[in-house]
Formats: sequence, C-alpha cells, structure tokens
Amino acid sequence: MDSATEDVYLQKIEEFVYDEDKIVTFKWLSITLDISVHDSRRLLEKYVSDHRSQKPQELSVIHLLSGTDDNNQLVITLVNENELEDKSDALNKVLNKQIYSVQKSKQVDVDALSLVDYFDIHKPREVPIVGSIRGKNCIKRIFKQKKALPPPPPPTNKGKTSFFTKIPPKSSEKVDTKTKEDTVSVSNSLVTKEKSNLNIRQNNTAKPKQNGIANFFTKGADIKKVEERPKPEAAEKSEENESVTDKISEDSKTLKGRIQSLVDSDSDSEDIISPTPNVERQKSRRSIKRQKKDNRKDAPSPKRRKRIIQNDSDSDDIFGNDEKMDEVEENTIERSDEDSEPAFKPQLPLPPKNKKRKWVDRTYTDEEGFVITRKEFVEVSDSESETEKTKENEPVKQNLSKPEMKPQATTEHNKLNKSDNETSNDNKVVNGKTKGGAKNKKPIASNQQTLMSFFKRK
Amino acid sequence: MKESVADRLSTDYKNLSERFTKQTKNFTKQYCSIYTVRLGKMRNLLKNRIKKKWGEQYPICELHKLSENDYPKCIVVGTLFKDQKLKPSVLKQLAEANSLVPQPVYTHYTDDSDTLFIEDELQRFQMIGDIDKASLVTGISCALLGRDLGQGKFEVEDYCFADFQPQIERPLLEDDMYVIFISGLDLVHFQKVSPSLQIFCSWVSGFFGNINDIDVSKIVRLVIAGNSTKIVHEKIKTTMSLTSRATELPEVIESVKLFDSLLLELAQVIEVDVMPGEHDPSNHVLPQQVMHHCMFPKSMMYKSLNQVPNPYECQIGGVRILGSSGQPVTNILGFCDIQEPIDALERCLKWSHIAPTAPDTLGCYPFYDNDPFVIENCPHVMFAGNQEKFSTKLCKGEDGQEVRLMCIPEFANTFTVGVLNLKNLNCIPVSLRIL
Repeated sequence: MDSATEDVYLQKIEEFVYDEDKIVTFKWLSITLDISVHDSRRLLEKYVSDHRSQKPQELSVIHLLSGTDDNNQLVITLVNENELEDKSDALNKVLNKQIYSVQKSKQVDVDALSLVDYFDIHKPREVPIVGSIRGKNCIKRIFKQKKALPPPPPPTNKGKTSFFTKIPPKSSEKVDTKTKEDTVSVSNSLVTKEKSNLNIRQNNTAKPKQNGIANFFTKGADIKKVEERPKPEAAEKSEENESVTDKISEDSKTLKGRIQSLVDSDSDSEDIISPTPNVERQKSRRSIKRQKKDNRKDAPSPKRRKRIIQNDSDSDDIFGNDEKMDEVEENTIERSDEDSEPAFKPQLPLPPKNKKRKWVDRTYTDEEGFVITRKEFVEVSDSESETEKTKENEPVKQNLSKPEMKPQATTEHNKLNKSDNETSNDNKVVNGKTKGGAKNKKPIASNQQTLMSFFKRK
Repeated sequence: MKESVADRLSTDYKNLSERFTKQTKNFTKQYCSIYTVRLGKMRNLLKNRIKKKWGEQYPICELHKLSENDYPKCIVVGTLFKDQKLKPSVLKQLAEANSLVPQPVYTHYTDDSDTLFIEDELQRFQMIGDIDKASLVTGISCALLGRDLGQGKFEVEDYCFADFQPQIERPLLEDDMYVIFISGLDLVHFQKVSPSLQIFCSWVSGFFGNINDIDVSKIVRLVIAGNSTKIVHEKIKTTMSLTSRATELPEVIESVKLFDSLLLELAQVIEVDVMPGEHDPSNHVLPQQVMHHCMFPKSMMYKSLNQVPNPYECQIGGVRILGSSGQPVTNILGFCDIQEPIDALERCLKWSHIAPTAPDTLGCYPFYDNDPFVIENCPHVMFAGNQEKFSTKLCKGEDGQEVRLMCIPEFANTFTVGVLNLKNLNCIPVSLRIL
C-alpha cells in the first residue's frame, strides 16, 4: 500500500471515528474499504499511534488478547485498553495482543461492538473477506438445471369439434343401437377426458357449435336453453322441452358420425361411465361451466341470469325428476357468481313428475355482493313437498346449494337453521313423533336439501 | 487492492455415517427386534473376548437351556436389564395424573433397590453376585461366568464386555492437522454468544494469525456437534385456541436464519460438518437425520457445508472419528452412578455400543434387521457434544488401540471449543469468553 493511499484511508478512519462516531473494527474497515484484514489492522494501529502522539487522552481502543491461563487453556478474548495490563498479568502466558477496534466514546459496550460485525441475515456476504484463509472445497456448488418441462399443449381454437376429429372413426354399428341418453353420457365422459385440451373460455366464436354440442351433454329440457342463449328470450321449462326436441334430432344426425368414432374408441369406458352418471355430469358441468361463463358474458340477460340463479339454488329442482336434471345442470353451468362449486350429491333419477309452485324464502348474493332474501315461487314436485313437510325436523344440509352466498350469510343462515333443527329435534324426542303441523308452517328455504329428499332418490 | 486468498490445508475425507441415515420409515415394528439384532451382533464380538479371558474351559450355555444342563460353571451371553424403581414409566405418569400427590421430578434414576437381569431372546435370569450394578445400564450385551442358582437366579462370578474392537492403524501424518469441535451455540439467545462467535469466526478465518502454535491454515475441518438453535427445551404454552397455537417458536425460526448466516461465513473459509442436536429441527429419536438443506439456503450454496446425522462417523486424513451430540452420554449418566461424561464415553467404548440405553430410556428408531449403534470398528477419536465442561482422555485398549475421548462443552455456557490435532491426537480447549 503506497503512502498516498494510506493517507487517504487514515483520513477516512478519522471521519468514521470522529465525524460519524462509529466503532471501527478491523473487520468492518476491511469490508468498507475493500482491503485485506491485515492491512486494515495495520492501518488501525498506525492511526492509533499517530493520534495518541497528538491527543493521548482521546480514543478508546479494544484489544484482542490471547494467551494461556493457569489450566493451560488457550484464551482468546477482547479487553478494554484500560484493563489490558491487568488481564495480561492474569494469564499465564501472553501470546498475542492486537488492536481490535477503535472508537471515540470512552464507554465500551461489548454488545454494541458485536453489532458492528453482526451476521446480517438480509445481506449475506457473497465472497469471503479479503485476507481469509480459504479451503479448496470452499466453493459454490454447481446446481444442475432441472429438465425443462415439456411445453403445454397449444390451446385448440377449434373448440369441441377438435376432439371429435382427433379420434379416427370406427364401425358405426354400435351407434345405431345406442339411445340418445347413452350418447349423452358417452359424450359427457369424453368431455371429461378431453377437458384439458379444450380452451373453451377463449373461444367465443364457436358458441353456436358449442351450443350444439352442449345439447348432447344435456337432456331435452336444457338443449333449448342452450340454443336460446344468444336469444335473450325467457322460456318456461316445459316449453323448452317441446321446442328443443326438433333441434336435438337435427343435431344428433349431424354429429352421429362423429359420435360413432367416440363411442367405438371409448367402448371400454362406456361400462365405466354408466354406474356413475352423476359424477360425469358434474365433471361435464364444470367443464362446460367455464365455457358458459364466457358465453354468458357476451350475451348478458339479467332476466335470464336471475332465473338461472333462482333455479340454481333451488334444491328441489336439483333433486327433481330426470327431465329437470339436465335443465338444472344447464342453469348451474350458466351461473357466474359462484367461486366454489357446490358439493353435489349424486344425482339420482326422480320418478315424480307432478310439480307444484311453492312460495319459498330464498337467500342469495347478488352481483354487488349484497345478501338478498326474497320470497319466490319455486317449482316443487308433490312428493318432494310432502316429504319436506313431514321430515322438516331432519337436519337440513345447508351448504350444498348455496355456493353463491357469502360466508357470513351462510353462517348466519346455518345458525338459524341449526337452532331450529335443534329445537325441532328436541320436540321430536319428547313427543315421539314429528310435530309436523306446527313446523310445517315455518318456511323452509327451498335451497336446502332435506335428508328425506336424499333417501327418496333411492 | 485485493490480496490473494491464502490456501487452507486440505485432506481426504470420508463420511462413514451411511448406516445412520439409511433406514426405512417403518415404525410398525416392535422395539424388541433391536435387542435381538444387537445380541446377535454382540454375541459374535463377545466370542473372541470370552476366548481370551476364560479360554475354552467353560461351556457357553444359552439361558433357556441353563436349567436343563446343570453345569457347575458356565458362560452365558445376554443383554443386561436394570430394573429401576425410579425409571420413568408412562404407566406411572398415567397413575400420577390421577393421584393428588405430586411426584418429585428426578434427574437421576438410580436407587439401591435396582436389580440386574440377564436376558436373551427367550429367557431372563436375575443376576446375583459381586457385580457393580451402579455402573451398568440396560442394553449392554455381556458375557457372565457363573452358575444357575435355580428359581431364575444366576450367580455371577465374573463378567466381560465386548471391549475395544479392532482398530485400523492410524496413519502417520507429517504435518499438524487440526479439527475444531464446537457444540451448543444456542442461537436463540444470540446476544449472549455474539461477541464470542465473532471472535471465533475471525480466528478460524485467519484474521488473528497463528496463536499458540496453532497454524490456522492447518485447521482442516469444523464439526458443529448439535444444539445450534437452542440448548434447552422450552415448552410452548398450551392454549385452547386452535388458531393461535404455534407449532414452533418464532425465536427458533430466527435462530435458524442466523445459523444460516453464520454457516455461510464459516463455509466460505473452512469445511463444516453440521450435526443435529436434541433441540435442533430434526427428528427426535436417534439416529437423528440430517437437517434439511432448505433451512440453509445461503450456506448450502457452498460445497464445504455438510449436513451430517447424529451419531456421526467419518474419516479425516485416515483418522476415524465417531461421536454424537451428547444424548447417549447424558442418558447413561442419568441411569447409573457414573459421574463424569468422559467416563461414560469410555464405558461406551468398552461396551462396544454408542447408545446402550436406546431404546429403553433413549428414543430410538425401531430397528429390526440391524443395530447401527454397535461399534464394530474401534475409532481413533470419540466425542460427545453438549456436555457441561470440556474434558478429554486418551484411553488404550488391550490390543494396542488408542482412542482420544472428547467431551465438547456447550458454547453458550462455556464459550469453549475443542481443537484436536490429528497428528498426535492431542486435544486442547480454546476459550473465547469475553473477560
């Protein structure tokens, strides 16, 4: 180190000590000035000796003292300058004395001293301090880069038609023997398989095609709704059933050939499909749900949406007859506000066909986030309503069909219902029979499913 | 101006701890299997010992055949079981929970009423005779010379343990080569150890030069023998609330981060072996597995950082080193009258077992096909961390084995580290306390 640089560094030390009132350790100085620790220690010694010659009473110096004690134990410690002589005498043999730190203040605090060279967890040192004795193996590891994952398959913009074309066509004999329902169930399964390949959200242009395909996923009642989506016309469910059948036949013919290949290729899976139709429906519902979200955005119809929500949260409709099932599914697909899916029960076909319009309290969350409770007419099957009246005291499953409701609303509602159920259960125990008369008057929210309704499906 | 970094002496290194890390995670097995395996292994080791001590004049009889064969004197091989009245028992704890009188808390579980039994796979006999039961613990495999007294009692005339196993000769090193042992950093109370740790890091990095003829460039390795995060178990206060129940104290998490920063500084200059301790974030039962590298993101970047298990065995420069973070030694001290941990360490070497009290009173994995704690090859150095004070001893075996025993103290309490010279197996303590 030349003298000019040395003078500069000494000046800097002066600034650190007097102007900034820092505790300057040799290690800190080495890091700050980017010099070797041996140089920094030498600089400190020079500084102290120069300064002491001019102003002997100023500066506090901490020394590093090493030696062996009476037990022949090697001791390395920090000692204040004032105590250096005493502690050196206490040692059996003094081996080394060197300056550790310099500061302006007379009061020496060991904790403050340790804070100067603290182990910074936020700013780790990338390289060892200059002047360190380093081992050969003290080098950074070379991490092998993991194999890059294969790129995801490109989004198919062709929509659902794409997966029809992928599978090569096979014999068409099987298709003729199949009923429409089977094709629907098969196509449901296919949708679940090919779900990952469909980028339905992005495809708004294929809406008509999608609508056509959606017809095969849903039953007659729903198909009409799908087709009416671009047309903002509200229609009764019964009317839809009638009007859609024609279209179904047309679409079925056009897609028959394509479905042929699907049926043949998935012949093994057909057996698997049938025992669990509801699971497949749920999956198809979910896959189509996303598709429908976009479609719904493009064709906003408040009236339609309202109706959809209404039907959605209607447990009676969900557990209605088979004809209603797909219609309800379509409605559930079309709804947009729910973030979480309802925990659907297995959808069993319902025999009763008689429907009643029932005045029911319905609580739901609208698009602005407000929880709204309204009395609305809801179509309920006769048997369903009867069972509700008689089995009202059964614990009601409340969380199933209220995905649109916010948690606070749900909990409040649950609390109310739970308390009601508790009291009702107590009454049941006391009397030995259900107090149907008194409790029937209490309106059950139609979005609640009763246990009896669940049993009834079997 | 930057100076070139000086080179540290390097030597060959071999990690011999595979038997402690290689284990299936099958906890469905019974613990009795480990005793069966242990006895089987020790039986082979004891055969040579028996031959040396008693020759072939006495027959070696199995315990279950002792009453059949009415030998005047015979040798039996088995595992010791010490029936201790004060031994902690979960059944007693359950009984205490129902009783109103609070039971005193013991740290030492020996009593005059303790009785010794010799057991093998099928039979057990009570040991009667002039045998120093106070210096023995459960789990030691030994050979007894005596006779059957009937009624399940065996009169002991003499006994022997597996003793020092064969030792590979230590290579003659030309130059000094040092290994530093440190344990019990207790970084949860970092303010307490911070100044001393700073001095330690600076010294190991070579900033102070050579002190007392210890050439810092010849310090080849640093072994951190456990309890780096904390040295005592602090009970987390139980709360009724499920949401505020914390699984780990925030101080411990901070201490792990600090430990990572400390290891980074050390790993940049020297090879470091990090062992888990009783209170470190690793599994509780022995053998403790290596601490996961995800806890040390900064320091694990360096090749010089090695996470090793507890117990740990390695070979540095041809010198075989075996040790633990101190749990086996502390456990032995609690169940017998041995006062000094260095004596307990010596006994472990004589019993040829690192942790004989496992699994009886020391948590242990239910090994069923192998007992990795059996010392089959006598090490040159044996250490135990986290002891009260530093102590060292050079003990010699009957066949010329020479073993340096070291008890490493808790740094947080003593600010002392141990420095071992591989050339001559000298070991000295270095105190870094701020006077």
